[in-house]
Amino acid sequence: MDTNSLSSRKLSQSLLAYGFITPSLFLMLAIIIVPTIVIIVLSFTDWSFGDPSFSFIGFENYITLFEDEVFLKSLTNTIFFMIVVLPLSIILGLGMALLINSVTRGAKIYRAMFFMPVMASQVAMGIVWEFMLHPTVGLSAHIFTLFGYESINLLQNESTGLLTIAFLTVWQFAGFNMILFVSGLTTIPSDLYDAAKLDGAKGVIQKFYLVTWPMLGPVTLFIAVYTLVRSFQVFDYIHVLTKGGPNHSTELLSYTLYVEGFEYFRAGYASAIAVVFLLLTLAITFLKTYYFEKKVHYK
Amino acid sequence: MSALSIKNITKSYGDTQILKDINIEVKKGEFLTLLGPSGCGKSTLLRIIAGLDEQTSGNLLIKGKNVSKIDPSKRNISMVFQSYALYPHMSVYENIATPLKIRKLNFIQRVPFIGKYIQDGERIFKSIDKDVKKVANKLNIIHLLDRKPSELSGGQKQRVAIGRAMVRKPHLFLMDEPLSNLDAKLRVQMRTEIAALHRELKETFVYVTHDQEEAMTMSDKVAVMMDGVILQFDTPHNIYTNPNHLKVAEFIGSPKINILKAQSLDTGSVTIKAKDINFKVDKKEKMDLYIGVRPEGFKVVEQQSDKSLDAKIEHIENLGSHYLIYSKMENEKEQILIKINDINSYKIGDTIHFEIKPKKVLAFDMYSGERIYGHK
Repeated sequence: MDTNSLSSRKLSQSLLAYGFITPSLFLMLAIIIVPTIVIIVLSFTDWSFGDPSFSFIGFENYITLFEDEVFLKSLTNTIFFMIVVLPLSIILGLGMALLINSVTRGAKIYRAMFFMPVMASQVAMGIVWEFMLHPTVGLSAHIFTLFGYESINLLQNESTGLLTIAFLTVWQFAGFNMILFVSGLTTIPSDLYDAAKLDGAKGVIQKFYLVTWPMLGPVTLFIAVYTLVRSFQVFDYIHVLTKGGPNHSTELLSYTLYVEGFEYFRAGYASAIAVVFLLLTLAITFLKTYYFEKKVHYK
Repeated sequence: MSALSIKNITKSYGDTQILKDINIEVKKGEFLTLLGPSGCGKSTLLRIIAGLDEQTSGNLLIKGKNVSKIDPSKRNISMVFQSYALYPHMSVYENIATPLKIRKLNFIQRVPFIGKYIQDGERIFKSIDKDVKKVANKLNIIHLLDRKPSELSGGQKQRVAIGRAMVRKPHLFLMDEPLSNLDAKLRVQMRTEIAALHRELKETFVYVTHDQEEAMTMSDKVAVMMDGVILQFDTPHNIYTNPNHLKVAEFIGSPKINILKAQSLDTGSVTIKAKDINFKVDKKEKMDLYIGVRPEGFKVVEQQSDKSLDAKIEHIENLGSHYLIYSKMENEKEQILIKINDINSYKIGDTIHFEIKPKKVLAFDMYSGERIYGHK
């Protein structure tokens, strides 16, 4: 074969490759990249939803944003929320996975039980929780009186509202994390546990530190990033249960974004919030890819 | 006192018996190989010795101490796994140091960074460091200490696994098919190295393999296992020249032993195709037997005689130092392999005349496979 036909074959091959990726490339552009660019552009405008015209106002939206007490509260709420949800849902998920992994009977039943909250719709679950936490007729009220306390409204309370939402979120996320941990546990070769036993590891805790935990590194990292990103997106519970109140104490970024964009129709301002939102997510992803990834992957 | 005594060990899973009444005594410093086809129970036996599986009945003594119910971490044995089972998140150094760290350091001293300075930590860390480097030097892996297992070749991983096993000077080394993941050339090299290591350490080794070559070249004693039973427990030489069962004779030796149908007479004389082969079994009765002859157990003769057998040559293999002749006797299905040093003028299609060297005859009961002893 002469060089000419070789290079033409190479060319046709790479054309074919581009042909194959075109549909998904088109979808990515249409669904992710173009909207992102539009949002970034909008964040520098004063456009209101439905307005026929808009003008560029530079960084004004961002300046307002960081002077806006509601936004700042929402931002700190979001960070606090992440700090609570992340470790709790990981520890609970891992604990449940370890327990399920160690039982010989009924593992499937437990797995299904703990996974159920993951499949349920947040709106429906939110309504159920609203009943359960009702200050006079709910389950929580009964528990309070049982222990001799006066019943309080856990959701409509500035000091417990966000924690309660965080609890519901952990309850839901832990089941999902458990499934991932269970699959992570099954990939650990049993030889490693045998080696650990012969090396002198006694008891569950030593084996956990020597083998289980390091071997779960990659899965844990994935779960951590996924949980963080998803805890950013918690919206339904707040919309159904508290609407961000009382006094914005349960307002998270996602809800502020919704209120600004779809209740006040301040599209430019809401876009600026979305950009902050995006930057936070990107920061987590970068940290994951360039720092943690190297620490937990051994191959 | 034996370094290891296995007494009446059995193991069953439900109704399936994996090990049936296993008895073995290993002296200190001996290299014992458990040899058998896959599924014969050899790995299960090794895991029972290690304490990773529990026997259904029977006892296990290490240096005279009954360890049947003792946790593997307290048996003072170490094991090299087929998969090497190195901790992937640790460097080579940490892998080798782990068994020492777990044993010598207490909970607080194991805390990273500060543990070193608590109580006697520093001195213990220094002694661990010395031991790790000594072992690494001996195994020629000192330059690899900072690497992670994923950055090592199969042979290097193997050495690290051996280093981790060696570093705490156990009573007993267990090895579960440690060479089977290596390529053929490296396997031969590591075989020699492990044998040399054994000579140098003068410790007791129990080695599991399905590869008879490894068993024959490395061991002091071989236990041939099949279907959960030890068929023969003997030196490699005896296993080859003096097998006590047809299955052992067939399993050991490459190329495989020739099995010929034969009959014994009231006098004990054995005949093949009605020709007396100049061998008498001690059991003087008329019966059918199998005669096993290794390829080198034949004497090729020029002329047909009343003692010689003949076979038609079907294939000749030139192996440089010798030739292997594949031939078939009349009305027989099985090929006979004859090793000769000189090809003379033999070619495919010729008839070859041969006698069986009486000293090389191994007679077996046709039904039970048990060895039937005899003499010239």
